[in-house]
Amino acid sequence: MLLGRVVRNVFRGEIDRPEFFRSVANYGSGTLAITFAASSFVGMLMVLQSAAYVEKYGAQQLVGWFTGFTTLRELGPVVIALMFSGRIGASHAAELAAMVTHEQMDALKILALDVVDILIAPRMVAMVFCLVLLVAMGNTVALLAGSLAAWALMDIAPSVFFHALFDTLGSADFVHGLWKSSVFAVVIGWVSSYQGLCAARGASAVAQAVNRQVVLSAVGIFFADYAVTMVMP
Amino acid sequence: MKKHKDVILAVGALREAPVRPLNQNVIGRFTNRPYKRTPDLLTFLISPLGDLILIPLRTLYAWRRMEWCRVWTYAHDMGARTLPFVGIVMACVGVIMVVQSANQALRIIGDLSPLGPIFLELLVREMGPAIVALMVCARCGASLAAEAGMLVAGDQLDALRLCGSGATTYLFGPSLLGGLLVLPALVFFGTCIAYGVGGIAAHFMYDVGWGTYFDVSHMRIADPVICMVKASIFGLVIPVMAIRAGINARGGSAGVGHAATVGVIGSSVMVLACDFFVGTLAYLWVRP
Repeated sequence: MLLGRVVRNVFRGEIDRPEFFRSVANYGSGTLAITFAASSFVGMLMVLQSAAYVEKYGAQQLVGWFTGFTTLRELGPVVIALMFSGRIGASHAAELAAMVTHEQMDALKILALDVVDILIAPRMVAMVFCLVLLVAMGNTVALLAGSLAAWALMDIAPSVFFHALFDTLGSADFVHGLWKSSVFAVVIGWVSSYQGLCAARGASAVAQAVNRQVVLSAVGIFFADYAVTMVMP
Repeated sequence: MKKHKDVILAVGALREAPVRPLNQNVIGRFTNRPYKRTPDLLTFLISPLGDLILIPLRTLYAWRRMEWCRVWTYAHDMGARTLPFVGIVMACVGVIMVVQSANQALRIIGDLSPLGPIFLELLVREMGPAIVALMVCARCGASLAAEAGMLVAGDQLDALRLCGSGATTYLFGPSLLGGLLVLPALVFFGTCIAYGVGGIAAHFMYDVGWGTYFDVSHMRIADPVICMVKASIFGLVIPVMAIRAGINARGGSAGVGHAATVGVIGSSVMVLACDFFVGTLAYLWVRP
């Protein structure tokens, strides 16, 4: 029902724009550094893994292909989504749970304001927007870091790396990760909103809501990954 | 009467002890400056690394005073209660990676025979330890940070110090030992699940023979050794990063929620960083 109401608001264009822009600014500034850090490690790790095959088969173009395919299609979106869930999803759930604990939800009802309209719908749309952008930027950083690691460790020039990458991978591989990230953002927004709104009242409720949100979002991300892979292999 | 005397002595010792904030980080300990709420870049980078080295050493130093019953509590929480979660996620990872790798292999090589051996190597050296550790961060990072944060918010850590215990013997040491015990077993379990489920997917979706997929002849002794070394390091890193986030929590229940977030993110990023550094050392050590 929560997701249905958000979808209805989106199709009707009833999104609180100031809240949307405020959320985009918060989410972007809050996750950019950790996204870049995590993505660069993912890119460099994939280069390290492909190094074994390069030295075994002597095919340098395998590095660009292997790093690009694993980063763009799988690990990039999944790792960035896990970071986003831990940072933004958790703080969203904590904020809603704190509002429930302090009876601010009841105050909103008395003022005839709907929490879905003023908080959840704009934030979910902002999450989708931000995560897609973050994955696009994170994948770029991962590939740049990977090319530098290949240059430093295996003496493979960045031009060879990117030539192999663009020769073997098509635009579908780039877009695939972005589709996935939009589905992951919906999962994170849905789970965090639900866990925040359904939090118990009490001192430990906020921490419990955060904990449940992180765990359920991680499971949801991998199930969504499985579903998207099966639908769009 | 003796108990009363001990308590009075303990209170006196605390009063005599130099005043040091509980959340003082490693730079603060060296320079005897209080913890800063907004740390500068040097503190931000060095403090976690310093704690990652100092806290295990302090655990070794406080070995005899360790609360051993809590080791099993943490091991149970990070192991048995995380097992179903890790199993479900790694089963998904197995199917996803086999489908993606098979499609790419058909497109680039046109042959599916190396699918199983390459997937096994990738899983053992990289994806098994990293993904299981990220799942443990998600499952336990928040709860460990929240537990430590609640102890700080309720001034219970001060009470523990009064009783002769403290963060090292009550939180860091037991959780660190529990993580060291459990993470290698979890990684082994998760890797087996992903490889097995991937084999079933490869057989029924791409008609790859069982013998072709489950060919372990390409594995080297170094691969499982690297896997277990990574798992052990992650078992040490996750509790340290999560609990230090909780101990630095301020601001009541809202601060605890924030600490849980920092615990998950800090431990996840540190897992990826350690994974990269151990992977680089392993690459330089075991070149094919």
